[in-house]
Amino acid sequence: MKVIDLYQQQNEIIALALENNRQAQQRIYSQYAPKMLSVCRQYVKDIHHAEDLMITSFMKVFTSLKNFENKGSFEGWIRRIMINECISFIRVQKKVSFLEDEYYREDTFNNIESGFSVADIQSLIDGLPEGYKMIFNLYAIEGFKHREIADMLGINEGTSKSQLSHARRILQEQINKLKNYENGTE
Amino acid sequence: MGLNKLETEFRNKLNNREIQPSAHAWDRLDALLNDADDKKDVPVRKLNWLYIAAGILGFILIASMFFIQGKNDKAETEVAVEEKAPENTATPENKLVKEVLPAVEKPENNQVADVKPESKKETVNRTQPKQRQQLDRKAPVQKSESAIASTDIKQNQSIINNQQSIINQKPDLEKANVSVDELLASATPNPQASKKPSLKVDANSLLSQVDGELELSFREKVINTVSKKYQKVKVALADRNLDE
Repeated sequence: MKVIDLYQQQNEIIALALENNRQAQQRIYSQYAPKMLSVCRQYVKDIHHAEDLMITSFMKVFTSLKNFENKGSFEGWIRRIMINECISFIRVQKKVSFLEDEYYREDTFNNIESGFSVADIQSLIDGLPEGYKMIFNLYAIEGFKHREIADMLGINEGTSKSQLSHARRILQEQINKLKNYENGTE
Repeated sequence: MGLNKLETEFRNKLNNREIQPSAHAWDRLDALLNDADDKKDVPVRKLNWLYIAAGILGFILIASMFFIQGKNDKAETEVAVEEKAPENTATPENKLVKEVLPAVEKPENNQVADVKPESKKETVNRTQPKQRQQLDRKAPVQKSESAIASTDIKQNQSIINNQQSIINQKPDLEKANVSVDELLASATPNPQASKKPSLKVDANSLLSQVDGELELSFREKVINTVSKKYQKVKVALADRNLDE
């Protein structure tokens, strides 16, 4: 019953926001802004840029709210808008281009939990080149498939796989270095 | 190439992370939303004014077209009346004349036909041409009179009755015991009678008046009725003054 009530409440808020009700828009913003800023932060290292991207994305959310068809979750829809905005920003500002490299090999990633904090994980991801970071975020964190990533970025599926492979290799090296540093071996 | 434990750990930790935006973030978003609302409103208002202006212009154009067309129609109708006037001069009297004329003219044609053989005789008897011509002219007229009398009496009576009812200028024809000759004399085209200016003028004016009344606009009708009433009042006042 509570889930149904929450769903109905959310639909009412969305309907009000669609009518440009500022209070409803603010409620949606307050509910999803922290998570969405985290999403933007995954892609953009600078928190101010990330916040700018989040605000711009929320603008798009409210202006294109009529396009939300209640097919998926509202959060997932907002998240997708955030990701697209971040990708556009990176591709324009950072001038990221993906080399058509379809050669990749299956790296054996350490199949154990690292026990790193979120901040450490974010710093590891931030250390990746922009292209690798983007593919890794889309595949490993967001859960997109290579076909979807290829369509999203306008690249080949093989390029997406090779970029992920390179990202994994770099991350593995960084994790090993960090673990060796923690163990005092280095 | 699925996710391993490390990637799943990364995913769970990052997806559960929340970063509180700055305090001014909502104010900035609010300002952006207000700007967007203003931009939305401005084109709508501009469009509304454009629609209103276009509507007024359209109304003016339609009205001007209507008035111009009305004037042209008036001019055309005036021209048409002027053109039709000579054709429609067939007043009741003229109609009567036209209807009676063929009946009279046909015997005259016969007269010509009769005259021709006698004209051949003239070539033989050239001694008294004038007398013969006079005789020849009299004889066909008498024949035609008798022919008309036998065939068109009833028709002429009805026509004459119509003439009486419309014109009321020939009261003698109302009598039932009118002779055929008198009827014919009244029906035959009398050049002196046809030249009466009052009859011609009346027919034209009647026709033009009827046509004009049919094609008059409401405004003109009102003006005409007012002027007629004014004339009536004027005449009534003048009569009253004369009686006094």
